Amino acid sequence: MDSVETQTPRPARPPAAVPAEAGVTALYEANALGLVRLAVIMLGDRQAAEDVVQDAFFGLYRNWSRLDDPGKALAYVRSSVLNGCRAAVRGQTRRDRRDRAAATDARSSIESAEALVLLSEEHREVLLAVRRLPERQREALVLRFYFGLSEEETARAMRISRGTVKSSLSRALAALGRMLTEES
Amino acid sequence: MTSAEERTRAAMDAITGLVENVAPLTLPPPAPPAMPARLRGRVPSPRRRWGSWLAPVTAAVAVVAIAIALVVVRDVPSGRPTPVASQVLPPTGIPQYYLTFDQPPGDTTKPVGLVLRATLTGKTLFTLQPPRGLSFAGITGAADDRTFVADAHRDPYGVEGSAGRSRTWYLVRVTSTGSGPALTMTKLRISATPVGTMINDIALSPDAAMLAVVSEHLTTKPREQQQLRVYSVATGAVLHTWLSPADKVPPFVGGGGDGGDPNAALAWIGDRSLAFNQGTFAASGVPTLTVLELELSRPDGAILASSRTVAILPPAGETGKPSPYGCRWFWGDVMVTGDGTSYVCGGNGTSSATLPKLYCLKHPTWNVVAFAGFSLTTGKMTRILSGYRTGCAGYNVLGYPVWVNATGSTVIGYMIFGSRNSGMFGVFTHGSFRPLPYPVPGSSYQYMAGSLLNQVAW
Repeated sequence: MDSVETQTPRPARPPAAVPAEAGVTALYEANALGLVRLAVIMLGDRQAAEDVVQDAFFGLYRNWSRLDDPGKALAYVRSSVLNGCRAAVRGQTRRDRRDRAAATDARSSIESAEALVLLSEEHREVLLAVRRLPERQREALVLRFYFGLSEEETARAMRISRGTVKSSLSRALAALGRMLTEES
Repeated sequence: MTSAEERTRAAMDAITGLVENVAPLTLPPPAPPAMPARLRGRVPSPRRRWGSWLAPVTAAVAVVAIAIALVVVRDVPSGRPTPVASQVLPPTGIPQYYLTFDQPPGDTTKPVGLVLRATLTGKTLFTLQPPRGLSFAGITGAADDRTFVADAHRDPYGVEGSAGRSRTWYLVRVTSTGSGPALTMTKLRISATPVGTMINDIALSPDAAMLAVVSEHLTTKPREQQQLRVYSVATGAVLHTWLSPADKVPPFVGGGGDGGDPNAALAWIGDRSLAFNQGTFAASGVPTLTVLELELSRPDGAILASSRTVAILPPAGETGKPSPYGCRWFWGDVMVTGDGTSYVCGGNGTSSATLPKLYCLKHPTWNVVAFAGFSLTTGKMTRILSGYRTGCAGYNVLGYPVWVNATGSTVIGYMIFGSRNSGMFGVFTHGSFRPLPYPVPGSSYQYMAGSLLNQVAW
């Protein structure tokens, strides 16, 4: 399965030791694909997912010099991607709505007819069900099951407690089980 | 593990096949040194980002554009733009367009033109007439689904039976117009092949910068050695020349023209290597298929001395009964992926316990496989792209690939149920299938070895 590369992100190098451009670019090359896939699952829209990930790396780039703990670089980007996905899902701004509409018009959405057919019906149903979950449950599910993060790492990325991660995951699976049973 | 968990993990994994690359990160100039707040994980507003950096970014883009323009003009004496191809595929993960001929191979009543079609719908988008007095005979595509090279010859018309005629070469590109995509044609500076030269294979590099041509001169006995030449698309210069072994009967690489000049016996691995495969018979009489890699940095001359064997393929399984999966013994049925890590094979045979999952099936009683991926490093099977459960179609299922993506996770191909004289043409990826219109007119389920490959270029 070629998703392995996304499940074992390369550790970030100390930001202070490398220039911002080289450091952020290296981090992007090692992790962007996995993060875009994560965002695609969250948003169901390839273009929006790439925008969110690019924005997250822009944020890291602008703040590179003040990143005191090098180990936080990837965690920061991951949290930024989650934030970006939340913002996009909620449609907080007019720009988000316009971009999503444009993406749909351009048939670049993963929900477009062309892209969806590349997924089996089974997978389509599951992913649509995942996207109907409450935000916290969806994030916990994706970070644990797709990104392969531990409960502790998931908790840090979501800025919630481990206990909340466990309960969110449990509720997500229960809800998914119900939704998928009803649909079948 | 719950069923919902299993299904969720599988569905998320399936996304991998849809998102295989991302656009490169383009960073603006460095941020000002003094910033008031510590890193808190906030994403800066896009409006502010563009507002403050628009001017320097615009200036940088302008400088880069000028530099690119200078390179383009320098590389092409005529001043025409050099062919540059993007390797980014549409979100569907398959090429948006393909090129084919505008008439069946056997039609010799008029000059053969080229047709641009949409992969998903099969709709004809544009028809390009050949240069006056010529007829197109071969096509090959770059990695971007919109840059091609075509060769043409003089009368008599028709694609079939065109071996031995002199070829001239054209760059064909998809351009956008107000009414939709169109094709443009530019004659290349590659020397016309002499009369009596048969084209055994053509392959355009992923970036459309180089064209590899395998040919042999049709003479009476003894037949001459084949030549593999690599040309610069921009200048027409011969960059490399290799010769097939003198003691081997051609064709050593590729085959003869059968419904168009062959375009699948060579594969580019990135822009620096070529892969080709050979069928031979072992002493026992068992057919063996070998994949060889030829790096462009190796010395010109003897092709075998400059190549290395990267894989010996398992022979195809017996049809009609359970047998280990293997690849069909034909040069067009093995496609090396652009990243050079694997090959996808059209073949037949049954699966075994070592295969963990076949996504397209509802029940774990599957066992007939048509397309599979193998690692070039280990030689082991790494992917099953299509298959059928016993009982659906018996054991007699064959797979014929016509396009594979750079990583080998998606293949466009043709899966035939031999016993039923029917088949499925479309996109196979991780066991799921999406039907596509058959890409050429005519009897879609009568696949002649190589003929479909030679008539389409993705």
